[in-house]
Amino acid sequence: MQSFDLTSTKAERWFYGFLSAALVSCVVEDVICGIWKIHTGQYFPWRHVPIVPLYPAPVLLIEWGFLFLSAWMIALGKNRRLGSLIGAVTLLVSLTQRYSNHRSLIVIVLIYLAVSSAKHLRFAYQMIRYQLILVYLFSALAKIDAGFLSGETLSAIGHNVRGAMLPDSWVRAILMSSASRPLAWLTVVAELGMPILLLKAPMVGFGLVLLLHCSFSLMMPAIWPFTFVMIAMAALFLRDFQAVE
Amino acid sequence: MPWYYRVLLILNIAYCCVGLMTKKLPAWGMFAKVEATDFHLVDAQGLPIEINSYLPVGAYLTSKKAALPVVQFICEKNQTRAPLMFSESISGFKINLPIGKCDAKL
Repeated sequence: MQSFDLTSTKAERWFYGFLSAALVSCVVEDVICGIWKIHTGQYFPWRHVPIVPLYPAPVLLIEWGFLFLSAWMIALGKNRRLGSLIGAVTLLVSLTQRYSNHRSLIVIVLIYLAVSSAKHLRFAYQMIRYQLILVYLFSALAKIDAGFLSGETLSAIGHNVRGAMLPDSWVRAILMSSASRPLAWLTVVAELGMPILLLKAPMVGFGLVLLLHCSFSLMMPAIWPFTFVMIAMAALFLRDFQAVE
Repeated sequence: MPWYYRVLLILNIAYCCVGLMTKKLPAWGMFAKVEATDFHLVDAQGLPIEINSYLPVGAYLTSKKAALPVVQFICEKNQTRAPLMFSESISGFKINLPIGKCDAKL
C-alpha cells in the first residue's frame, strides 16, 4: 500500500535541489536588484525593520557567503541539518534588513529541516507539505477578501510593473487587458485547487506548480526565490509509483 | 508526530488566521490588493525626479501610503532642488514639500 509519508528518493533530490536554488537566487536577485545601494544609502531602505540598524554594505558579502554555503551544504547533502540552520539564521538576520514573504517562507522550511533529526525527517517533510497548503489556502482567501477577483489588482500590477523578465509592455498587455478578470479567477482557482491536485495527482499538480510559479516569475521581477521554494515544497508531494510497505 | 511539530503547526495556522483577519501581519496575502498608481515628483524647476531610481528593482509602490516614505527620503537627498511637488494623478492627490520640510503624510 502506498504511504503518503514516504517520499521518493528522486523527489527528495528535487526538493533539496530547488531549495538550494531558492537560496542561491536570493543572492543573485539581491545583486541584480541593487540591494547593495540600500546599504550605501543611495536607495530608500525598502521594507527595512526600523528597530534594527541597516548594516554596512560589506556585511552583505558575509550574508551572501553564508547563503551560498547553506545552498552548497543542502544541495550536496553535506550535513544538511547544519546547512539548514546556517541558512535559516542568515535569512532571519536578512529579514531585519528588508522583510520579504519569500525569505520568511524559506526560513520556515529551513527551520523544519534544522530541528529534525534523521529519525524525524519524515515529520519535517510532512510539516513542509502542510506549509505549502497553508500558503496556497491563505493566499487565495486573502485575495478573495481583498476583491482580487475583479481583476483590478492584476491590472494595477500590470500598470506598475518594471524590470520583469518578459518585456514590461508584454506584461502590461496581458494584465491590463480584458483578460485580467478571468486571469484573476484562474489564479485563485489554481491556488485553491493546487493542494488537492498535489494530493490526488501529484505529478500533474507538480507540473502545474512549475507552470504557475514560473509564469509569475516571468511577469514580475524579484520573485524567483519564492518560485523555487514553492517548487521544492511541491516536490515533497511526489512519491514512488511502486507500491511501498 | 513529536509534540513540538504539532505546536509549530498550530502556531502557524494561528498566525495565518490572525494575518487574514486583522491585515496587520504580512501572512501570505501577497499582492492581494494593489492600487493603480501614477506617481509624479517634480522639483522647483518643474523637472521630473524618477522615484524608481531610488528603489531596488522589484520594489512595488502599491499605494500612496507606501510611496510617501520614499518621497520623504528623496526630498531629504534633494534639498538643493526643493521645493518638490509630489502627486498621484489617478486619485488627484498632491503634496508640496517645501525647503527644509520633507515630512510627507497623507
